Amino acid sequence: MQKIFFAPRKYLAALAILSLLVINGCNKKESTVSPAPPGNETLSTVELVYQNAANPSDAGVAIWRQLDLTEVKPPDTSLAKVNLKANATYHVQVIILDEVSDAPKVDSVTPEILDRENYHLFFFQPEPVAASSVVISITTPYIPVEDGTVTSATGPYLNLSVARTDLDTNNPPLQIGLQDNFTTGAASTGSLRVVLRHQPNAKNGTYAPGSTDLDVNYQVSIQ
Amino acid sequence: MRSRSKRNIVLVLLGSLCISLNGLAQKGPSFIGITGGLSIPTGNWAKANFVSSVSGFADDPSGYAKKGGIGGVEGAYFFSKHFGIGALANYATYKTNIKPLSDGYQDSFDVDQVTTTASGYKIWNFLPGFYFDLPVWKRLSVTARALAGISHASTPAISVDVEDGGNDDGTFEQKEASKTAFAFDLGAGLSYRIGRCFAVNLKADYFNTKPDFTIENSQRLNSAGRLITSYDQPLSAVNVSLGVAYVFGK
Repeated sequence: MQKIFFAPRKYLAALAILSLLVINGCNKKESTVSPAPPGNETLSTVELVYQNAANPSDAGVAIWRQLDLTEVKPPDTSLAKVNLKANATYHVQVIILDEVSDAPKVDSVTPEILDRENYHLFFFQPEPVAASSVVISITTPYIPVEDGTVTSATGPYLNLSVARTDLDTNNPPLQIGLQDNFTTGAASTGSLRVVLRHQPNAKNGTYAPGSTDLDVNYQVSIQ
Repeated sequence: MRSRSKRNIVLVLLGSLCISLNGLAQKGPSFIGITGGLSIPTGNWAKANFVSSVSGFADDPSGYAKKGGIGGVEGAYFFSKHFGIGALANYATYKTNIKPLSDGYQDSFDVDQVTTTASGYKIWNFLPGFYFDLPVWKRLSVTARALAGISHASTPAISVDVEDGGNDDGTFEQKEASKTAFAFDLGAGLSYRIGRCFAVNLKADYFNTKPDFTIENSQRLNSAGRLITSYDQPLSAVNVSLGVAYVFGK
């Protein structure tokens, strides 16, 4: 009679190895995409509220407004005018409103930006400006030439400098720009470009990372 | 009343002694076999909270572990009819429940899109311990085991790519971490003999280990969203497994 050789331990070992391979094979990397939910606010209105540090009665509000979501119509800049005294320092607050999404109700978006201060950063660029005045560092609010700042070799220049005064809770803290100081020199006129950069997990004090949430202009007069 | 309960205790003890002495005279079903099945994470390890933090980092005990597969080999030598010593070596993997994790990052950074990619948890175990077998009907036995040993576990590597306003704002990562720690396993089951040499085993176990992982992260530039630098929650699971064993010695 022919003997049938049966080696169960070998089969068990083979099965064990096979099952481990199957279990490990089931553990491939997985990926998922999380899109933004609909219904974000619209940044329709940007106000610069300013007050002379030495003379509180010298105060004003400049308002830039775009209520047309399609942006076919130009923004309303009739009130986007900043009138400052020469050789003075002004405390400035940036207020952003949503006058569109929930109209006629007006929502302030500023608290939300303050909540999300660790990845938002404001930039301010007075123009006309000399190239030497566009000092780029993580503590200056100016916009690099490659990002649209037009410098002038001859002037006349707008004699305005801007410094952000608020800090976020990053480690180390970085500036935000909702609170600022405007310092004026001699009488002059020009424009002020205000840009809010959204820099999620990328904020480092510079202009480059992230995307632009708003980009608006004001006329400036220093008397 | 009190004397009756004492008498019951004495009877139980005598019965146990009788089983043990009887068991020592014979040897039980020593075996070596393979086992595989489903592992169901429990506790915080299985939680998958939506964690959003717009200002500051958020720590959360959720482990985001999904149900996984488990497989391994085990064997036991029965020195008596009912009791034996043996060991279980197994390997389990668990995918990561990344959807709520990813949604939390999207909300934390208020961006157009977040793409999250993750590997899974991996656990190797070597667990020696005690085995018990009690024949209850013809070929059917009730089994139990109490094992304690070491576990080598690793956490998933997670990468999160942030996109907003048409820009890719880069990827940050939670690195894979691994640690070896004490582990234990308590289980019970049924064993059904097929022929002279084989048995099919159905088991349910509770497994627990608590490695204190230290977790490295990279490219976390701003304080927002979930960030963990350590994970010291128990990795516990209920394992349901089916196995086949080669039985010898009886």
